[in-house]
Amino acid sequence: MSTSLVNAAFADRLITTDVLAPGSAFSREEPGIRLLLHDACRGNREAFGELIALHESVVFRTALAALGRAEDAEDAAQDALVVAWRKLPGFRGDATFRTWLLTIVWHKALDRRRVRRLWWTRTQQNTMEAADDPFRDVAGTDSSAEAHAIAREQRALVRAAIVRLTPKLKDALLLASSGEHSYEEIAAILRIPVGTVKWRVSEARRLIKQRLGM
Amino acid sequence: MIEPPNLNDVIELVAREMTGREPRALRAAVLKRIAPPPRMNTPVWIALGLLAAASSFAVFATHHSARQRPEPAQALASLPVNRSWDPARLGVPVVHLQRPSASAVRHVDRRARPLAPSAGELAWQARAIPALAVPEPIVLDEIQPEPLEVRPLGITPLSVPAMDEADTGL
Repeated sequence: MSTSLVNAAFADRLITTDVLAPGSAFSREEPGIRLLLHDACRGNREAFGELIALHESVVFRTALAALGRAEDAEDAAQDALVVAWRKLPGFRGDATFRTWLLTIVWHKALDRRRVRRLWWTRTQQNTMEAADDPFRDVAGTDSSAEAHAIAREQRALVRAAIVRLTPKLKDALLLASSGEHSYEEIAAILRIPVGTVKWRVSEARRLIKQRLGM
Repeated sequence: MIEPPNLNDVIELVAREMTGREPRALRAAVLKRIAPPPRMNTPVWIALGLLAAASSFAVFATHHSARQRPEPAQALASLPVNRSWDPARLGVPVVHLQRPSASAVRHVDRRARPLAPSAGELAWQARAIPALAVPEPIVLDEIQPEPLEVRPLGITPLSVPAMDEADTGL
């Protein structure tokens, strides 16, 4: 993330501020993020808004990987960002702001998924597998040439196989395949070793192939 | 069917589709939620207007309640009192209450303005209900139980015949 993405009002201060001095707080961050963090930690909502703008896509997609439904992901992402705003003064910079934020998002999404599953098991006895697919309204949105080349039926089979995975395998596969996270970041979000992340992704692919008869 | 070498690509593509969306208005929604509560920024002339209206209402309410309330001394004097009823004849203990004087009532209720009774009040006074007839006192007959009569008991001495040998059959 480069400083060019940062609002010009904040970028102007990059030259004069001492936030960027060696040994200052948030030394893991890039200069633009560091300046925004410095201001946001002191209650500057505009700076926090800039931080949201820089991270809202990855925040939303992370929540979507856990929840499947865009509406739920929006709510979880909002809750997580509000919590992040409240906890921001206590952010020490041990991890990057992005990892810290995504960890909050992931926990909020898991909370919501837990509540939803509890509600589902109490109120529904739906045996239709398709109805249990929270990703059904998400699929098919990619209009790239590559997506069109693959038959719709084939994608539906793969999607059904992914949905049938256990939550641990599905989470790892979706986070890894989203293109937003490195294995190290996924390990930090899920709080598991990097090797476990890699194994889960590999195991998820193996099970999908097995269920598709290959 | 999907060719095995291509399957990993298909899984990757489908998994990316499942998370490949953009948020709608996340930033605005969050900034709205973390915004401080709005301050009361009422213009001075609105505040003064509200204050004047409240004062006028308070004066009107005080004046209106004073007009509606009858003068206490006159109201007490106009109460119908049945003097023929004498509770002493019935032997019932009575607590005697003295009617407060007009000055005492004025002392208690200084804020009430002395006003002449209104037409409605005079009409209400004219509708005094006539006193009921004096009830007959209850006469209680004395109820005395019959005196108990206890008769003296006589004791007859027991006579036991002497035992002899004939009685025993020996």
